[in-house]
Amino acid sequence: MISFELTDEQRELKALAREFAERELRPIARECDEREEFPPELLAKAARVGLTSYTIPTEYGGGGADAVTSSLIAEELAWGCAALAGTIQATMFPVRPLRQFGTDEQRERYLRVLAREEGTLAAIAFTEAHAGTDLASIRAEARRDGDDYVLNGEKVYVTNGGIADVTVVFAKLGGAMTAFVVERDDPGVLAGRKERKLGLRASYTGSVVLEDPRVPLDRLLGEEGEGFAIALDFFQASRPQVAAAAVGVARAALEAATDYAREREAFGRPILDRQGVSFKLADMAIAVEAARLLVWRACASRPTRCRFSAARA
Amino acid sequence: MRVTTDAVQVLGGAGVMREHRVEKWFRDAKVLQIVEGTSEIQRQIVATYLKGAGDLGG
Repeated sequence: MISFELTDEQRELKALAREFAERELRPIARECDEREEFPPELLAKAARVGLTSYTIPTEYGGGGADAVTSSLIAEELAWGCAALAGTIQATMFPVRPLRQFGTDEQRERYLRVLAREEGTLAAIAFTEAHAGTDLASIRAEARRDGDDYVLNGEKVYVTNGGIADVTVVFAKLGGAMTAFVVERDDPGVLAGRKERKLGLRASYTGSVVLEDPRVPLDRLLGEEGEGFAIALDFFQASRPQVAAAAVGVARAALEAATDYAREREAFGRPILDRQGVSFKLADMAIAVEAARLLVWRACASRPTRCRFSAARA
Repeated sequence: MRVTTDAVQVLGGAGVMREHRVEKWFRDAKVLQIVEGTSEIQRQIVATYLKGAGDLGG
């Protein structure tokens, strides 16, 4: 027995995201892309209807959505505009590390801030100029100094990097990868360069400069040296959601191409009547369906199966 | 990426014009192939599973 039926709640959330994408994202997507800007008021609009907090547990004011449900929302929002959707969803970047590794106090403090209706900009900062997925080679450093940690380094290509209210950063503490939470107002947490991009241009990508901010000990996320496990756990959850966004973009392109092929005539017939075009559209439709099923399967599979998280489980 | 590339092709001349949305989706899709681990990194992870227990959860 296998079922692809959505629950009533999933259908409702999908419809909510779809309506938001159609009403709030699509009409401004082109202009925001041209200007390379995210309109600040959009975050609060999304937050008010729960689209910046759906993965936050309900006891902290969020929607408590599971991975499959989140992927339904991600597909719809990206169908509207993947760049605007990306910024809206970035609010939830710190959620998984906090939920899985945070203390009760950290969850209480930060998850509530992330869930608030005014909207909160958030970020997670892994990458450095010389180190992307090769996370072990990062150079940002943390050191313990009395009742504080002092951080130093620069994180690049970070969504909302340097402008986020709450950022999870990764640095080496005595050579061991460790995660910390920094806040926008921490002295020494600075916004570096804003990047200009090929695509997803309306989402803010910039660097976070850590100029020796001193943060209290309770900003340590997880244990000292647990950063690598936190990062892998994060990626395991986030990557299927990025794939869901890609499905949304692909579906938008398929719909537009199909509409165009139906209308557009060449040599006396709609181009949709030509196999050169209709077979291409059929292959596109198959690819979208197949990709969505893979996303759902990835989201539904139990995370404990993954060797990376098995170490912690 | 493939679907958005084909969509640009189906639209032909209109597909490369900035008035139409498909060129934006094409650019957005390219970035999605790279963020959160490139497609090649994802393949490397799948290959790691195959090399190990070979259990992809089937």
